Amino acid sequence: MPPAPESSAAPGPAGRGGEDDGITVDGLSMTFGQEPAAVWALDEVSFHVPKGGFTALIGPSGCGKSTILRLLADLLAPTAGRVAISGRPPSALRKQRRIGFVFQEHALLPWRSVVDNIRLPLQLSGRAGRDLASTVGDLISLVGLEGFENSKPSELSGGMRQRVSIARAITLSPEVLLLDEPFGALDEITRQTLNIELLRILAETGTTAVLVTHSLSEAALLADEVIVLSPRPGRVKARIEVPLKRPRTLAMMKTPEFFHTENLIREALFGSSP
Amino acid sequence: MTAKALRRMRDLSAPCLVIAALVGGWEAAHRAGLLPNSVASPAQIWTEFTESYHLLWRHARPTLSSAVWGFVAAALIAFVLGLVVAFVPELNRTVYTSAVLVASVPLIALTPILVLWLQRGAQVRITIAAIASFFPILIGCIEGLRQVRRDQAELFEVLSAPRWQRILRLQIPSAVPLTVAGLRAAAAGAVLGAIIAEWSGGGGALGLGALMSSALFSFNVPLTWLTITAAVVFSVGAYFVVMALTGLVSRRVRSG
Repeated sequence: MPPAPESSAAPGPAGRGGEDDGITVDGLSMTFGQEPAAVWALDEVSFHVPKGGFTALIGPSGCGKSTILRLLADLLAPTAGRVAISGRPPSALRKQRRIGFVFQEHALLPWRSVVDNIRLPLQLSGRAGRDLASTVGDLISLVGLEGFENSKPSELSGGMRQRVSIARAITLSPEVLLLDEPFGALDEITRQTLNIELLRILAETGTTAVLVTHSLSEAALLADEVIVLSPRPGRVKARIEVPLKRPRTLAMMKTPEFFHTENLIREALFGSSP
Repeated sequence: MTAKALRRMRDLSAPCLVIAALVGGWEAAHRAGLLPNSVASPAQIWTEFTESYHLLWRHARPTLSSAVWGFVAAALIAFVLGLVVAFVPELNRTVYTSAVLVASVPLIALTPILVLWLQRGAQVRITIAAIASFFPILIGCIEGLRQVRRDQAELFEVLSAPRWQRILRLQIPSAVPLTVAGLRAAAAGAVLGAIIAEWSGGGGALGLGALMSSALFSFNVPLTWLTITAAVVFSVGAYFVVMALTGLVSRRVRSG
């Protein structure tokens, strides 16, 4: 392994902390349905994301990656195990609207303009007050959508829709940002541009992030730690620290460290001789 | 002429040709003596129209206004019930069952009962028109309010949106297409409902239905067929008017 300064000890750019900071997932198990037809989705999954850190979950379909994200967002309740975000259960954070979620297919409301989609969380939280215009304006420039404020989602490209979706997810400055394969439907060029932009946005906001992805290079480029899952039921198969420094750049994708990380993920997924 | 206008003409030309062929075949069959005496020919209907369009219009006006008011009343009640079901999903079965019952009552038998209760007049025609158009609108509303994309529903859950916000900002806009479909399906029913009410004596001596029954019972074949033709034209017209109106609304509400 090439020199990896402070690899395993480095939590994330925003600081280090103990158990109570960031996201702690402890012995998470999930079974859907009742016994004869029950589906065992997750088995004793445990990991920790330090505050301000970035963890990627990768694995074949059926490994329960999206289920983990939905458990973190309190959209599902686990069969066994515990999730804590800053020491609190996800339900408490959800009720305070401290969780941002970016969906696979943007989930924008097609009848609302870009501005109105980004404004939605403010309206739902009853905070559609004076500072609204400036907040939404800042977000629009943060995700680089100036000039498209009044466009409808149907008039935007796939990449632009995901930018709106990211802006909407961070409108209320959430403590954690959960991303469910947000760039999966985009072409490689748009995808890498958005990868770097996402990192810039996260660096500006200091948000803790968990990303579900199918892409090895995306996981290696974005995350501090990549968690490789095996399917049916989902189990943690490997944890891989990414030795790249921050801020990350696309140029880093040409470094031996990057290739090495990608190969480690590949080996964990497919075994050493695929 | 633009390509769009040309395409529109081509789209319209097929149904026009079908109608022309049907009318032509009908006229030919009549002249060949293939149809019974009780069927008027298109030419006879046209002659009757040129002679008595004043009479026709005098009778059609109250029918059309009853149809419009009945339709509006049905739509308002259906919207309210749809929202009630959205707020209290436990009521879904109750509302559905009652609506099926109401829609299954034979309107022709209901009219005399309503006459005894409400007296003859517009109120009976409007009530029957409303009942006749109610069911498709209600189904459109209830099903529309339930048609929410899974990820959008999850978004509202992650944002911990209260139920009324979810209904107002997600379910109602999502319900527009199916509600519109229900309104379109109900439009012709409102006209036919008003005619049925008049036909069975619910509206007094005026009304397209009343004219139809008096023509029928005095063996005035061309006038009977003129009223039948008018009923068809008004029903189809109601469908297109509702389609145009809802088209305007849904383009404003939803562009996706």
